[in-house]
Amino acid sequence: MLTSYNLLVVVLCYLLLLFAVAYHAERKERKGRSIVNNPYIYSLSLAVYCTSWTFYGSVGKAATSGLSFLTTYLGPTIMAALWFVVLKKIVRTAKTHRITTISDFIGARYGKSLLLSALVTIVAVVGIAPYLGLQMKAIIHTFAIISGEPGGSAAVGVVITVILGIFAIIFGARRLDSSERHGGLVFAIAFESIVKLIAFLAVGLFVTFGLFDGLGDIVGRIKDSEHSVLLFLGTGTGTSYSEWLALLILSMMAIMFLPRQFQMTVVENYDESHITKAAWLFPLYLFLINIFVLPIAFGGLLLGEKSADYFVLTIPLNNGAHYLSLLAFIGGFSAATGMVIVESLALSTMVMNNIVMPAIINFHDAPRFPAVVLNIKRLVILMVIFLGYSFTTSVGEYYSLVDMGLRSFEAVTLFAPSFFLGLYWKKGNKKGAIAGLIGGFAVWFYTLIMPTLIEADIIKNIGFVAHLTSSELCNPNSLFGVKSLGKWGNSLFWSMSVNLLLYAGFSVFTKQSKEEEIQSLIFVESYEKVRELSLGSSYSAKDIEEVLTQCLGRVEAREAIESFLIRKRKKRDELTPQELFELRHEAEKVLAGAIGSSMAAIIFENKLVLTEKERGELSGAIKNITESLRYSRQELAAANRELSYLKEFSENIIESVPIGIATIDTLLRVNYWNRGMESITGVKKAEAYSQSIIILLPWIPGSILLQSEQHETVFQTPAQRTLKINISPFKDPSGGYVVVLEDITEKKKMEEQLLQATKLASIGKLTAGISHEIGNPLASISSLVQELRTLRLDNGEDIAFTGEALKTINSNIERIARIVRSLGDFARISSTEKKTSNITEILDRTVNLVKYDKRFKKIQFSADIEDVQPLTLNPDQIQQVFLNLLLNALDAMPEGGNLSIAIRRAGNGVEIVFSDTGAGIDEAVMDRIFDPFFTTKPLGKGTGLGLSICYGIIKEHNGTITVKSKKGEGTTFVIHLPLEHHD
Amino acid sequence: MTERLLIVEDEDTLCESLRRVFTREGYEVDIAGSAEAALELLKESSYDLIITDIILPGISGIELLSRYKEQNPEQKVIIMTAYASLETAVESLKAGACDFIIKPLMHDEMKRTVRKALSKGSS
Repeated sequence: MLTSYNLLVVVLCYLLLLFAVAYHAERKERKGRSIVNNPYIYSLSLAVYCTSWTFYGSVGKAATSGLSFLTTYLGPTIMAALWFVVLKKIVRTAKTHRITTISDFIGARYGKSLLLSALVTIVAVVGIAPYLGLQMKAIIHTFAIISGEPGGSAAVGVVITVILGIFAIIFGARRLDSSERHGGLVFAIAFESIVKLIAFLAVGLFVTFGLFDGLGDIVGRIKDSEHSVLLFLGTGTGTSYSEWLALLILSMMAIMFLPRQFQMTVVENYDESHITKAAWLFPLYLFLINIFVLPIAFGGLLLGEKSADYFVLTIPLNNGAHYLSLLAFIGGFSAATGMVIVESLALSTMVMNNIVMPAIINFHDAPRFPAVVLNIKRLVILMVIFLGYSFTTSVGEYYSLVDMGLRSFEAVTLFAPSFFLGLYWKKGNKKGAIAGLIGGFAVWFYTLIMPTLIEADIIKNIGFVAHLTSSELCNPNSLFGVKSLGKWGNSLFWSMSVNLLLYAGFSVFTKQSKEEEIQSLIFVESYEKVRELSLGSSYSAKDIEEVLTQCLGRVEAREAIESFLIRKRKKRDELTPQELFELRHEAEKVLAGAIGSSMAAIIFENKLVLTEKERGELSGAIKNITESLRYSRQELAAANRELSYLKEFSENIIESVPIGIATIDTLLRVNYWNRGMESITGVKKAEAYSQSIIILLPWIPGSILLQSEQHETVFQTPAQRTLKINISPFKDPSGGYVVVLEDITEKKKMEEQLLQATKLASIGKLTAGISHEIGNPLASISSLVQELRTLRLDNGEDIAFTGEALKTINSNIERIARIVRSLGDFARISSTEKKTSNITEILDRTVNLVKYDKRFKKIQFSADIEDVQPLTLNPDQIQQVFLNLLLNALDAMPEGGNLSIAIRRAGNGVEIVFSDTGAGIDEAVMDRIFDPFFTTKPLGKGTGLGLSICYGIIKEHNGTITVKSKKGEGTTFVIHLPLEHHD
Repeated sequence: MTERLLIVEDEDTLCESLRRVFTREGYEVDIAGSAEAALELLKESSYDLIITDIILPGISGIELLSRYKEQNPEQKVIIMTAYASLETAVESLKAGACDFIIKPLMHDEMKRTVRKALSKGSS
């Protein structure tokens, strides 16, 4: 119906879909929303057990041997009932020890034996090859059937093998993390399990209800046919009861020991609790996928189809249901791919862990780069898959699918004795496990693989081989002449017998190594503490005392031992191993107190391997350490005292300052609250702790909190107090802030008073000039008025003069008014607020006032005023600054000179420059002129506050004031005021 | 003969007013707006009495007084001042002024002072 090419495209599309599904699951997993972590996906992933064997082979088996196909599913179902006990223990042990394969598990149980792991790996790889071959065979055959081109099967086989290899690599070996779970892979396998179940059920329904009239019809018709014997158990079907038992046991073992089952059930298990659910979900799945095996098998027989292994495909195909057959093909394909991918992954991990990596590590020159290792792993996957393929092409033709699969079942069953007995029998040892495995493997190979190879003509059945195989005793199909066991029973019975005998025999008659003993305890008891116990028991009380003596001195050692013995009320030689362990533990604690716990542990663990000389050196070293420790302890104590004194001292300082200091965390909750804080805010320490500062002091401006750098601002409380708050973030990475609160109400008041006083002082200075200035017009007015009073106003001249005189008087009154107004402007009650003001206006006003000073009359005044934008400032304070500078300039030029004032834009602000040609400032006092109370004027002529007040005012405006001067040449003051104020 | 007065005052209105007042009283009155202008006038002619303000643009009234008195120690000078302070009065008298009057000027009082000064000198 489809050409090979088209079918290949379908296959590829399916695999890409599978990859997309896996990718999706992996992405979800990475985002922490795992869709894999649940018992349903887990149970479905276990159904990787159902391969093409189940999909095609079971029908084939049912068509030839009747109900015996069921053993393959009854075995796992029985095993699932045991999972509650066995599997949980295995999963727990594997997770504790980060075990990822069955070979690691067995190797770890027997003293972490690499040899045993490698052996298990080899047995697994060789043993699984037929099983992989089975899948290849199924895919190639079904491909040929669907495409109808049996001729192209060889080429198609290689192509499909390569594709499967590549996908196995994509799924399993994109990264090098065999210990991790493969969430994507698990999900893809679960997806495949659903696909194959649906496909099989669809075919089953089609055959049962489409081609026949239901189950009753099929069974009725088969009963009347030559195949009626298939309905019964027993020898008539070619399956003896012993064979039944053998098959049952084989499949029970297979579900546990097949590498891919171990991968899915143990390694990919998320949660032990999933096992409980899987114990009934998985058998349910097996039941569902087997419902229609008999109907399809019987249907195929009744319809006269050939090649019973492919009834699932051929029945729909030959009865016109082409799409159903394609679905069946996809179902079978997914059954096969799931197995191939997981199995090759599990096997490659085994090969890598137990053969390749140890080899790499042994050859020191070998590259150890992860990329190389990863590529080797990929190569191993490909090799494993091709091994299966070559098995198919060489001998696969001679056997049915089930026959091939059972060979692998027989192989993995070889692991049973060392695995199960290892879990429950402490005495089982490495030699036993190795001997049993080799013996069993030999029997397996001889009974199951030899005949195959002979049949395929790979081994020539002549000479010694022919002699051997044809002898009564050594016939591979009936060893030792026992014929009643059946083919599978024969191999199982003898391989198992040899295996068990060797295992038990060696275990009983040889001794375990120390490491093996520990591992066996860990595995059997599932108990980590046994490690300590087993080690501790090797010490006697004398040993322990000796160790302590070497490290601590004789007296201390004896004391420690004696006090333990007194507590236990025992004598030295009466101690039980358990008590000895306790004593060792006690001694280790004593030693740990002196030299630290890790050193103590090292000393106790290595004590036996040290030579006398080394022991002497070690104890010398330890004595030195103890000695220096004692010294450093004394030093520490002294330092500690010093520290606590310093702590107390600094706390005292913090508590005593009249400034509020508090610390708050990043959530603005108070950690510390000093006494100053209490008195400023009225909030007591106890009330403040752990409270949010915002709740405690709601009037704090919100903007200042949450600043990332130090910040200071002044604000008024509702109670009319002026507070300065400074908040600085902690340098500490844990965050938080230091809050410093200062009540500057008094200071502010005093500052205002000082400013007012300065202002009055400068008005006083100006008084002489001003009074003269008012006096002049006043004198004119007075004079004119007196003139007017003498007039008789009886002639035109008098009247004209009166008019003229009144006009003049008026203009003089206006002059006076102007002066008085400018004085009033200046003396106006000072405001403390900043407002948008025109700096030029302020300067004008000040100069108007100063020009009444008589000295001003001698001065050449020039102004160079640029248009500048209004600034936010306190006009009163700035005016005071200008006045102080102008008066200073007049003071500096008693004999006249040039005074120039400039206002100009400068950078991000405005610059005001006062330049005089006066006496200049002596370089020696230059850096003191802004200091309070510093003056160069004679006693009583200056307070020394003028410039320091200027400095304070400009600083409060975030500006700067600088001075340049040269003695005898003059002085220039430059004020810079920023446009923006940051508060 | 009519007595000659020189009034030195930088305040024009006041200066003109005083000239009118004393002209009406029968004196011959010259006025100067500054000490420098006064000294120019004094080079050409002499006056019986100089009435000068202290605060003037340029040289002050006291300076004018002491400078002119060096050559003409007999010159009578009355000082006008807005400073109602003892200090200026003492200073002006020390410099050789025969009297001082305080602004604002009361015409009657001023006339009396002028008459007193002129008569003092002639006796």
